[in-house]
Amino acid sequence: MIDEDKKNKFLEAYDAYSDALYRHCFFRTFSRERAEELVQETFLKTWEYVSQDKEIANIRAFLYRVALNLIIDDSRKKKEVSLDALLAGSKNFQPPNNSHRIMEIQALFGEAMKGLKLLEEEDRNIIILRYVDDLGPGEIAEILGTNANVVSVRINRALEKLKNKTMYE
Amino acid sequence: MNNLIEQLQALKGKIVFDEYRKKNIRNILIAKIENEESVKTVTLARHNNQGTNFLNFIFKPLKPMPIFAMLMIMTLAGGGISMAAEGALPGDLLYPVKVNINEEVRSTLTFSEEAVANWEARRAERRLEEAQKLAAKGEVKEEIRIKLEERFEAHADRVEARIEEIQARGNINAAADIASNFETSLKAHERILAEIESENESRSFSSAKGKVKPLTAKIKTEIDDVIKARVKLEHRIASEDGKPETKTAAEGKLKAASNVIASVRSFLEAKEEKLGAEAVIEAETKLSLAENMTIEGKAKIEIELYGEAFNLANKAIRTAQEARFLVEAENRLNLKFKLRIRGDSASEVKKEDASKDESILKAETRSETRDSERSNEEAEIRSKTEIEGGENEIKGDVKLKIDF
Repeated sequence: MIDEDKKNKFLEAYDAYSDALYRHCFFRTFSRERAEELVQETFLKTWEYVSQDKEIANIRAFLYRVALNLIIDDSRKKKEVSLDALLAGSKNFQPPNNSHRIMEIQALFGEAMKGLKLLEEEDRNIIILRYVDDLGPGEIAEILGTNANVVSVRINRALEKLKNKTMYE
Repeated sequence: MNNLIEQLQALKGKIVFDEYRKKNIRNILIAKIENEESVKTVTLARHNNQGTNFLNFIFKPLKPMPIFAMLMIMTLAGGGISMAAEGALPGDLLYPVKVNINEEVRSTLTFSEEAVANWEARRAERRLEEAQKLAAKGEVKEEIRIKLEERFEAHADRVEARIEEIQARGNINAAADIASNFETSLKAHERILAEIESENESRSFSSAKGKVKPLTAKIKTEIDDVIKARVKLEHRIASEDGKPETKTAAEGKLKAASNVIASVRSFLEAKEEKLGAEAVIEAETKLSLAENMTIEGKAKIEIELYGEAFNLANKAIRTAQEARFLVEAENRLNLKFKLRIRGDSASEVKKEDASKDESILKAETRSETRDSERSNEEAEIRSKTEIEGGENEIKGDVKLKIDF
């Protein structure tokens, strides 16, 4: 009764893309727990779509699109969490053992978070897609439903804005 | 500006999706995929297409609004249904409501990690209770047993994953508690199922022979896993001796252990005359073992080995609980014996024992609704009377059914 083929493809997609999606969600939410939930919700939503026999041409782009929408819903719901609270909360981000390295990474992380905070949601999104997820403009365009040129322009603009903002810091 | 980009690129390799969580979510997805399918077929048969919309909506990832809506559905339209569903067994029409709506709603309304872990443990226990009831009735169908096993395993795995997470978040004592409790309860259920199994086997006409064996095997593997997790946690606890919070935790645990021992002791005293001498001795031995452990634990606190004291206290609790289960099991056997002799007053004995014995099965008393508790006891008693019926000639008297 269950379409085995559909199910297998879906689970393959999970195995292939859940790590990347998790990372993306983590950089957007700064919370391990939230990122995990977002990954789960993303796949559940996608399954819902798949199970209604709707075609998905590019499963990766589709998954990203679902995740991005969920993140936006999220950020609309709860306005601005303070950076301090986020930093305090990022203790649940713990690479194994070695406490010295943890401190180092946490410091680096705090810096990166400050930088990201300077950006608007949309710009942050595109920067993370480009530099954390390592997606090319073409791939990003597919996710955002636009074309590669527009994406390139937007990346450059985001970088410009960031430059200006950090100059005044 | 390039700073940020460099930082991001340096960090991205450090952010890794936890393997355990990844597997866990994968299992959740599989469960949802299969669940949805089975529920769809049930409702399709009844409401045609209308039902699917309704259920799709219920299976959407739960956000505040749907939770609220689900509660509304439960209270307005289905309050009675979901209450009634609580006592449902696999194969019943309302069973999907029990596991997919009632329990899922509870899950989404449970927030703290520990509460989630405990609830998942409870769900695993509920599957075992269902298996017990079915086995006692001699109605374990192959496909139902397989489904039950799958659900049980999924819940048990989630408990283990949660224990892992709670531990990762540094709350080692809480993780150890959950593991320890889950272990005791699994052991008890395994024992009860084995008991039912051997009763079934003694019935010459039984069609239920050997039916729950694969399940008891599964429980055993889960017990092994939980024990492994628990031992690991205990090592960690033992290594945190110096900390003051370990001291408080250990002292609290020891107090809890003394309470458990005291309550099991009074339970034993109440039941003593009904039990065989061997059982009393065995239970007493376990209790004094447990007591020794608490004394030893207190001594460990004196010499500042708080972690070890904590572990000893947990062990004492487990041992005392084992004594309790022993008494309960023995008590049930004796109940059977009495029925055999006092055929006429059988119903009286049954009633008395069923109500007095506040925990025929420890887990059963923890059932959420009175409805399900009643049907538990009823099934339990009915099964016993049926066993009696098979074994001796006062069948007519013993077959009395109690209506609560």
